[in-house]
Amino acid sequence: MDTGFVIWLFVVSLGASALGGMLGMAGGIFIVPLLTMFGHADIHTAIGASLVSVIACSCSSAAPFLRERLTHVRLAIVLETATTLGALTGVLLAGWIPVSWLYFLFATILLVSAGQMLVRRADPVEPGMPGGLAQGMHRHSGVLDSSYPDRALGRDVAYTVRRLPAGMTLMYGAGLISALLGIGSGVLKIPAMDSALRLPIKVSTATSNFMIGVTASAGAAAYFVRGEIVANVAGPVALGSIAGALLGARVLMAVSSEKIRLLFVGALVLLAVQMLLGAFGVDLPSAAA
Amino acid sequence: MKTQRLPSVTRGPLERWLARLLEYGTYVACAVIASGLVLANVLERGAGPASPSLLGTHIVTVGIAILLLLPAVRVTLMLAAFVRDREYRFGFAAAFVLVVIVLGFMAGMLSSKAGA
Repeated sequence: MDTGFVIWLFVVSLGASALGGMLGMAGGIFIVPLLTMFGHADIHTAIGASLVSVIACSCSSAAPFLRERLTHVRLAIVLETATTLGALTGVLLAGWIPVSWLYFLFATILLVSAGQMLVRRADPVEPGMPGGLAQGMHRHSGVLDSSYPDRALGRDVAYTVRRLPAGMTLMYGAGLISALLGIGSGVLKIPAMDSALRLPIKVSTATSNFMIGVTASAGAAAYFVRGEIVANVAGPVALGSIAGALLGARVLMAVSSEKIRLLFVGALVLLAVQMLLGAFGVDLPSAAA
Repeated sequence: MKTQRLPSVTRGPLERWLARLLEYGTYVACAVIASGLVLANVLERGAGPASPSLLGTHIVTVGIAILLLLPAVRVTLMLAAFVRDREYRFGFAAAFVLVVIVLGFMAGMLSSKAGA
């Protein structure tokens, strides 16, 4: 194997994962296009490596979110029943749907998500409401309601979980896309959590990041058994992703919700263009070969 | 008015356990993958291109397998914690997720047999 290519894989994954980490998503979404367009890797090898990257990003950046009490683990496990079921469906469908169609479909979904994110600017949870007061006002709500400590405000912010069935349906779709394209689908999960479940953006970011590892592992198990996870590609990608995710998570803790959101919209549009290029089979000049 | 914390977030030990598991699990997987890559690219360089039987590549594969298993171990830990705390609804969800992960693994086995 070529040591230069191993180093290139490491550096590319580090960059992708650091950017993803800042937006609260895995870098997997960048890795498939980069590996196939610039690295000239086989699409299945790229998807396999990308799923490993997603798991690596999720596991390595989960700890700080958990310790900061931003991750809602009970909501995560409930939503994971839908995402893993979606991933299982994706694994079963993988042989039937042409990848170019999926890229095209995904570009559409990304653009729609970007539109949604632009329209609704405010956090679903009113920041002007102290935790104790909000708790009193939302007494009617269910077992999944919680609160999180907001560093910028210096106190706890209470929130309720809304429209769980709608959220679960979107999560099923996110799991499906995750297994088919080898991505974390954080871009789909985060809007789902904003628009359907109406979670505070920091909670949805942390919880989504926590969930993508399990979702990807349901898909990755099948790729691993089929021999589509190539050690010499997935290994350096995993290491680069972990290094990048640790970097990105540090930045997320310090940046405001509004800045994350704007970065997120930009990334959605860029990815949509990237996916459309992939759908039409545009081949970019090689950087590694 | 004093800020109150809701019950679900004051139940902290599970979050701390999960944080520890994922952190150390990632370290172990990283160390194994890195040592395998160093072995494959530095020590076994002269052994010729693309020979899959090399020890370094096998070690990298083991590291990746550890990483792939980490989420399943995480769900198992959550299952144990929810059952212990009699939170059976969440325990059921965790058991369901584990079953689906195993089914994904089996789907891969079936399709690899069909392809071969």
